[in-house]
Amino acid sequence: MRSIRMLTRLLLPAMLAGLTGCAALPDMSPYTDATLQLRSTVVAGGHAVQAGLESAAASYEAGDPAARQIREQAAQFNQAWRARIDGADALLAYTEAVTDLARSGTQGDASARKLADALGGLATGVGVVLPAAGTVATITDVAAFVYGHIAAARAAKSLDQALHAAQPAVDRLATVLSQDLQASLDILHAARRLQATAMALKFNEETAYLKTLARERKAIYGKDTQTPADEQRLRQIGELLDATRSWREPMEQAQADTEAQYRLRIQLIHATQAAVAEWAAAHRSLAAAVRENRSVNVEALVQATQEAKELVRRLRTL
Amino acid sequence: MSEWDSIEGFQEWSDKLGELLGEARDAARNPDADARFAISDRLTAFILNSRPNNEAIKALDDIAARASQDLMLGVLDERLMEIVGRTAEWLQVAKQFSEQAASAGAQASAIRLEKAHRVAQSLTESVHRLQELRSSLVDTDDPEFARSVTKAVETLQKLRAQIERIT
Repeated sequence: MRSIRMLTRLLLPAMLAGLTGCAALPDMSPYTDATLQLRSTVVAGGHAVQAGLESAAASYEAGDPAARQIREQAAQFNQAWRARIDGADALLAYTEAVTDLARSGTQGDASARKLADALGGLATGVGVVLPAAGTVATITDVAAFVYGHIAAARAAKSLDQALHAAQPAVDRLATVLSQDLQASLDILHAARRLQATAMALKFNEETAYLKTLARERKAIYGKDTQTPADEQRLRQIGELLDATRSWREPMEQAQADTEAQYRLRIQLIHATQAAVAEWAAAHRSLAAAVRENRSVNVEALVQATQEAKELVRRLRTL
Repeated sequence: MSEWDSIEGFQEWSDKLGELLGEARDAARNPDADARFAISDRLTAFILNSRPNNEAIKALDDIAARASQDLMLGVLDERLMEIVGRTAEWLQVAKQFSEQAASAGAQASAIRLEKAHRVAQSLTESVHRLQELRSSLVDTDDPEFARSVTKAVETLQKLRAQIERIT
């Protein structure tokens, strides 16, 4: 019996390689992980735009028509962005399905054994007298081994068809998402400027006071010679500027925080754009790799999504 | 020296605002948002730099603020409409991916011989029930029924052999 098994192991691989074309299936898990991350980034990108609009609205006095209009736009954006999240969910479901398809090709041996067990149970049930246990094991081994190769070939063919059939949708999604992200960038830029205008009006008196003092100090510094009166005035200006610290520093801190949040949101959208482009390119590479029976490197995609992930983490901590 | 340093008095500030509003009108017609962002920045800079901060100058600041807001609210509206306009396409793409996912899932299931496995399990269960039924029949029961049960078990046996062959 051992010699039959040995012979099977020696002869069948060559025969099956000829029949199935040595199907090699790529490890799709990094691609699935990257797609999951891309989905999170799409969600976070939507939140970032929403937060940018809400910050802009909050800069206005309550009841200001501009604030109401911005809030309405934020609600409209939120509703429209849900379709993007649904799209990203469908994309993830697709990626998981093709990953599972690739995995099914590597599990042919186990699938055949599972079925053999079930059929063995059925045979006992209907009263079929099975051959001796050793013979059954050998038959199962051979069947599982053969089916392992058949499954790999079938999965490679199905995966090839699935990846190529999906490529137009992948390209379309990448284009549409990229356009949406570009529009989102403009929304964030506009929201930031609305905020800046509102803040300029809100702190108009304070800013004017600071600028007046700064201008006077600059004029004194610009003189060829300074009189004792000039020196006295410079000291006074210094004291006046010090006295503004209690309200100036919180105001400047708030402005710096707002600017930092804006920069981070912009960075996140840019990172998402890069990740989407890498994702579509990686899909194309995977499709080609499966067709040409070679390995594929999705490191650029993994790196792009990692960068986006880090930005999402930083945004959450703000 | 910035563009604001040499401006003095209400008239000069008013003239400067007139110049900026003219540029804002041109930018509003430009589909590229960057031109509008640039003029919005200058209108805000006008608010921050105009002086002295008396009522007349503040009135100019309010005009500058409104112009900047109108430009930016216009950008928001345009971009939002673009996004909303693409929503139908998203729904279509999502549907395509869902279909692709279902198709790939079905193929994976077929490769795993899941259907055949389920059929085998279901048949095994049926056989056990039939065997139980056959053994519970006594001689006094309908012999025709007993023969039908035996035939059913034989049919299942044939079916099993066929499953083995097709998979």
